Amino acid sequence: MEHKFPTIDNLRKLFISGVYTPLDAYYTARKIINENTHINAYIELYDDAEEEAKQATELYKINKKNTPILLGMPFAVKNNILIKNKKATAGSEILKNYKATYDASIIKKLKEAGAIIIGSTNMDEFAMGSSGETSVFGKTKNPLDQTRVPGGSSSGSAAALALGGIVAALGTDTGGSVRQPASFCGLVGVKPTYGDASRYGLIAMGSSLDQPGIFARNVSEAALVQNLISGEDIYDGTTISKTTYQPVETKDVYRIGIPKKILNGVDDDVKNLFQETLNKLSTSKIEIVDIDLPLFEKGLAAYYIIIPAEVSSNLARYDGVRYGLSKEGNNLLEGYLQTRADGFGEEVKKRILLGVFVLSSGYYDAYYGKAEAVRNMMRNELQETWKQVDAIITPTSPIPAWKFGEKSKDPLSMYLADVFTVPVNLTGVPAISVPMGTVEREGSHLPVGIQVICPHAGEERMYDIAKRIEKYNHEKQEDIS
Amino acid sequence: MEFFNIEKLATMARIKLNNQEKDSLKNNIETILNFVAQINTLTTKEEKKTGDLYNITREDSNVIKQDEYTEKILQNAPSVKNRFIEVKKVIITE
Repeated sequence: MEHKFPTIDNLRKLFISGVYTPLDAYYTARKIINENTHINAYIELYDDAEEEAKQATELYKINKKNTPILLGMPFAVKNNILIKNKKATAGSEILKNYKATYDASIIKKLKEAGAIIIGSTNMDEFAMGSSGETSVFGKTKNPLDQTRVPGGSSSGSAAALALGGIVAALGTDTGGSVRQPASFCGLVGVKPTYGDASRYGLIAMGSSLDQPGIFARNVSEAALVQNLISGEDIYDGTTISKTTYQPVETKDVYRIGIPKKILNGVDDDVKNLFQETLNKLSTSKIEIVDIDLPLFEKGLAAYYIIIPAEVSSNLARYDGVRYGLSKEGNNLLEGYLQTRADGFGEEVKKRILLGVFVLSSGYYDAYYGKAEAVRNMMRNELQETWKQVDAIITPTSPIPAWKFGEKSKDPLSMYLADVFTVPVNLTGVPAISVPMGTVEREGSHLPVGIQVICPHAGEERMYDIAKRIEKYNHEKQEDIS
Repeated sequence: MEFFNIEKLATMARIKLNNQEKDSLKNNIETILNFVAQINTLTTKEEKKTGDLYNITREDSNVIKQDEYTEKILQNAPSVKNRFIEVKKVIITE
């Protein structure tokens, strides 16, 4: 996919030379956004970014190379990541006017690296969804085919990067919410190892599953950004250190497992593209083997018990007392009931109620308890699998981007599309989605992603394998042209 | 097959539902529960329900300057009285 903006490397050279300045980049970004308001990628645009761009331009004049690595580069950030003094809405009515009182730890790091955040991006309400259709600010369109979804829940971040004008975008990934929209919009999307990047300052959805995620235009930029936001944080007790996990080395030759049985439900065109990519990879120091992951498939069922449970707990704080929408009632309880009735959308209510049920007395063990036990078994299954293979590869999504409304009627059909992404969050391993080509639907060429899953803290290996896939993809595109 | 009470759930979740919502949510939730019930087909070791979790603690020392966030936090509050967030009566004596 052609990208309308220089790479980070090139942009840095341009900025240092002064031929193209951060202020120029800011104006370019805003122009692209203005020409594409119908895509609805952004919730809010930050006008004060212009002043930051001016300051960055001056700094480059004076200090040239002695400037932070991302100085002056435009970024977009999903609106469930707190940026001090900016609205953090989580795409919801209940937080429509809530102003963050502090920077998320990852935002602090981004700012220290000099990046300029030009706006907050649209998202499914409270990160619940895979299509971008549930935001209270309206749906986001896929820039590559505006009749189709960009994916979700980080719909706006994906669309914003696909439009151009920014170098990268941040999202959050709890069940695939960065990898899947990356796949639908022809981008690279990364979910780091659970604990790699701090969740401090993220509006929590499923605390044992949430991870900040990165959208980038190529694999090395994704790695660069992840490196910057990554790191142990005293404010997030679940962050890992460099020694939490055993080292995961890069290799010259990799043995990669494909869970063949799970490919049964995959769309034919996606399957063919997937097989084609595997065939090419297997000629270049990558050994492809069939593996059996019987629990992988059960991940969906476990996920749709665990996530509502955690959601029901995490969203209990939205009661109209300390912040957010507040509806008066005759008494305190009525205030809660009405605030949450008016403030939450349908999908959010559905998941909260589901969560309350699976955690309730008499059902806790059968549902939540069982789901956590299954989750544990999945972790063990993966541990065993890493003894045989170095990585696991699947399509990111069994289907390409669907049309708006196509999956709104049946509550399950959208959930089922998460089959390849949720086991990654359940087990906490890192995964990346890399574009593997396009499939044709009614004259549109829809991007499709391939997912590489590695052991815990195995990002170096993950990026190494992803680069090889990317290289093959470029070679393929050159063959076509 | 209804084995959950949507009204009870709504009360527990502190969300007021209208009749239309009750019906549609009831159906949706039933569908989802039927789907997720498949985990019961798996035999699991019941003793270990959670992964390798352990507590992480830090020193109980003040890392925030006094007043550093007070004003910003109060600005977000729906009802403020001096330096307090005002709430409805918790205990009702009739």
